[in-house]
Amino acid sequence: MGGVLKKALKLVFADNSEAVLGRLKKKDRPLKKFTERELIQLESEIGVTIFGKKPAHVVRREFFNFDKDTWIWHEEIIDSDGRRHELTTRYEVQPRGILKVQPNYQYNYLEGEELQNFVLAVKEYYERVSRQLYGRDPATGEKFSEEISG
Amino acid sequence: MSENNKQGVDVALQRALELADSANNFNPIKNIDNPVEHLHSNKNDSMGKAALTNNMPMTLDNVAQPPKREDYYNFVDYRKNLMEKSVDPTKQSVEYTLRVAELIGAFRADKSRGA
Repeated sequence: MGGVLKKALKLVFADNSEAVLGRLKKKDRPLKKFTERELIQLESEIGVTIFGKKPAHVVRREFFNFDKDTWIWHEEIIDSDGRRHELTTRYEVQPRGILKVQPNYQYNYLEGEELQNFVLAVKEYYERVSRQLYGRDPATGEKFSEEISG
Repeated sequence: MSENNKQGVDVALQRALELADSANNFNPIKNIDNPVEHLHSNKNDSMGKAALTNNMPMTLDNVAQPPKREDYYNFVDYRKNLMEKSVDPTKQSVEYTLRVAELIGAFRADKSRGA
C-alpha cells in the first residue's frame, strides 16, 4: 500500500475508532458538530453493511468515500496460519473511467461486471448514508422531518 | 440558519435534483431485481474476494461454476440497452459516481456545521 494512503487511513480510522463510534452514535446529541473524519467513520460503518456479514476470516472491513474522486475498500484477514493480512483497494474516479489501484503497482480500469458492481455499491452507499446518517431523502436531498443519526 | 448553511443546503438540494435526473436516465441495475442480494452473492463479489485475491471477476469459482444463462442474457441486455441509447457506461458511471461524491460532500459539510 502506498505510504500516503496508509497514513490517510490511519488518520481516518484511529485505533480507538470503536470507542469514537460508540460515542458518536448516542442519539442524545443530535446537534453535535461532527468532524469530517468522524463522519467518514460513520459512513464506513454503514458502507460495510452493503456487503453483508463478514466471513469468519475477515477481521476488519471498511468501505467509504474518501473524497470526491476517491473510494476506499479495506479489508484485514487472518489466514489459515493465523497471520494477519491487509489489503486496501483505492478506486480513483478519473475522466477516462474508474481506476482500481492495489498494492505493488497493480491497477486497471473497471469494466463489465466489476464496473457494474462498483456502481451498485456506490448507489447503495449513497442511499444508506443519506437516510441513516444524514437524515435525507436520497431522491431529493431534502431532510426528513426527524433526523435519524447512527 | 446562517447564510452559509443555507447556501450549503441549496447546493446539496441542487445536486440531489441533478442526481435524481441522472438516475432517471441511467440505471445500470435495471436487470437486477435485488441489488443488495446481488452484491451479497459470492459470484458477484468483485469488491471483496476478487479484490483480495487481486483477480478480475473471472475467478476460479466462475470457471468451476459457469455463469447462469439468464445472467449472461441480463448482461447482454444491459450492454445492448446502453449501446442502443449510444451511452458510454464508463462515462456515465464516472459522472454518476462524481455526483454521488459531491452530494455526500455537501451533506458532510452541512452536518459538520451542526446543521
